[in-house]
Amino acid sequence: MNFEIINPGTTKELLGAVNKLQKEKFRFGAGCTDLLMELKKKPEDGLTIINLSQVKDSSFSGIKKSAKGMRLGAMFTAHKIVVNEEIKNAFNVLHESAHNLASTQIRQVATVGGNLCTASPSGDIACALVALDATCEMLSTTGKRREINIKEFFIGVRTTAIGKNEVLYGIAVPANEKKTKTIHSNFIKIGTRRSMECSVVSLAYHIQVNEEGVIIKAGVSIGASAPTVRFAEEACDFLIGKKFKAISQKEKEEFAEKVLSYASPITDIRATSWYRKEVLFNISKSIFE
Amino acid sequence: MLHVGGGAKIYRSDGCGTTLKIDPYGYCTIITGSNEIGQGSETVLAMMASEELGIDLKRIKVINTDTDIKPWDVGVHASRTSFVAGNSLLGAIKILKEKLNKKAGELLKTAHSEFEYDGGEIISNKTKEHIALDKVVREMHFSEPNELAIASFFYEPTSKFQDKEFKGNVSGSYAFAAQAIEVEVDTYTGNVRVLDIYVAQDVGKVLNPLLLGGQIEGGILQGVGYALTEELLMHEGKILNSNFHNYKMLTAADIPNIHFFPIETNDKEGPYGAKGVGEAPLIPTAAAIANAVCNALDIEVIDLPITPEKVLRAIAEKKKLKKEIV
Ligand SMILES: Cc1cc2nc3c(=O)[nH]c(=O)nc-3n(C[C@H](O)[C@H](O)[C@H](O)COP(=O)(O)OP(=O)(O)OC[C@H]3O[C@@H](n4cnc5c(N)ncnc54)[C@H](O)[C@@H]3O)c2cc1C
Repeated sequence: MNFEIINPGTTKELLGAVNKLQKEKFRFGAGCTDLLMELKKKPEDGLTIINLSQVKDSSFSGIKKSAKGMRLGAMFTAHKIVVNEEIKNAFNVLHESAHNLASTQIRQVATVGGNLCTASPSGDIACALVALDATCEMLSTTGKRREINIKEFFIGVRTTAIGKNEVLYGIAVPANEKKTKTIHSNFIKIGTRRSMECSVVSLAYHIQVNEEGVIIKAGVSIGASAPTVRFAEEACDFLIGKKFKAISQKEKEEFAEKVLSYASPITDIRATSWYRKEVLFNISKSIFE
Repeated sequence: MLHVGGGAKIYRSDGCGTTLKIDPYGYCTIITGSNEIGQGSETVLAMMASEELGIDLKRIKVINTDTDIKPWDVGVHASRTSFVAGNSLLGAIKILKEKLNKKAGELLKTAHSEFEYDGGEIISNKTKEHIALDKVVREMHFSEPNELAIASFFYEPTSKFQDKEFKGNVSGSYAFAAQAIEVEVDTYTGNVRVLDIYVAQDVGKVLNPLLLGGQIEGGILQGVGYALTEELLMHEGKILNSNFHNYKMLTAADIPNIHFFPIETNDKEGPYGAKGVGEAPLIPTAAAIANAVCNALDIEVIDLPITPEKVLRAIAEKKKLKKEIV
């Protein structure tokens, strides 16, 4: 593995470096937990790494709460998500996804931005953010900000909607509904061991219920079941207007079928397609049990 | 479960050599053929030397890394290290003590030859007169006939090769163990979660309780991995998971509640009655887990590892069978 490395200290320097390298081969390095593994497997000649970890910019690495919701800088780490009480209370699915990622050591450096930009179908934080209907915010060399919904962010396995002259700058999670009384929010990760595990299948859900117990907003997404993390829109729509606690066995199964319709899992060394589908169906039902 | 507990004859020699020396300042060096791989062999050997020679642990050094100087040992396996290296060390200590006793007798002007070693002193059992160990070593070295406080010993266990019918007394010692395991099986995912493991094991004489516990816990977690996750996947002669990301060894986060009930016995061949303990805890584990899964769901998974997928398939097959019967 051989590469040049650039260490911008400010956002301006960062955009300057990106601009300068437009005609060259370059990659961003945040926590580098994915990047180094990838480069080890497939070394590239003439590569420059732009190290994002020295950039001093709170919009890039911090967290900010507003009436609209919560905005995480792309460099916000999995560890910081885990220890943030507000995230845990309002968006437990995000907390759990970060908590289930790798190990304590990896979580210290692994970033939200890295998890999204790697665009792995089994990205845990990515899966949670899809269920939360987050918005990705890009910053281009011209200084322009561009926002897209996370559902449009993932194009295929390891490909995203980020342009070559852009960097992922932040992720905005919309606030919970004003009328929300109870939130059923969790991340179910299926694997064989309790840490250092890549998801065999994952399911993220964030279901908001009003005072009457009726579901008013639902976000459900699946990981490691298709080329990208997928938002199970029909399954979410199906839930709206139903009483969370009164969902019948038949409805549970109908819901699970709808979730499953978004899955097209492969068979690989971790599990077969049969297993992934079977489990996805079962854990989808389990949300209401 | 029965397993070898040290001194198993797999190669033509299962022995271990030791060279032992005490310098004129009373520092002891153990050059042992056996290795330290994290099991705590260095500690246990130093403890034995300290016990026998009355030398403070801080003054004892164990050298086990340099194959240019260390004597023969066949390797750290078959739960053998404390057993063979311990016996080898005790053999060397015995020879060295004979030399030291002789000199101490001369210096203390006593005719008898029974001495105790304690607190850096050699003490006459009979008269309780004593003399510093380092002084005895110096006198050995610097007065005629000048001699160093060095001894070498090679221990070879009494075990024999198996005969043509694979029978015979193959090991210097044997370990016995039983485990009872409680599991929880998630019928939605097929995941088997090991809750409690009760371990009763014949451990011979306990030399170091903390290290013993470490051997038991580590062995058990390996046994759980063997039962549930560890599998070398092959395709057309190639290994598909040649890294620890995909070859799944369990981690500290997966360790179940382990309830250890050591059965302390006195092995007549072992050092101080000790025997090997390292492998026995991982051998009954997989069978007990498979039995527990069977007990929970009335399904049998007999090829290891018992992966979530195999469990889920077995559940599905059982359901199908039931439908067919009805
Ligand atoms: C042992 C181990 C265990 C793991 N376990 C898990 C797990 O359980 N769950 C899981 O989801 N992941 C896991 N991962 C993968 C990885 O840790 C995560 O995806 C992590 O979030 C990546 O973040 P990072 O900051 O290290 O990304 P990096 O490796 O720095 O970057 C990843 C990719 O994103 C690009 N990138 C990074 N930041 C930006 C940005 N701001 N703008 C544009 N592009 C950017 C990089 O160029 C690179 O292509 C594991 C990795 C390892 C090594």
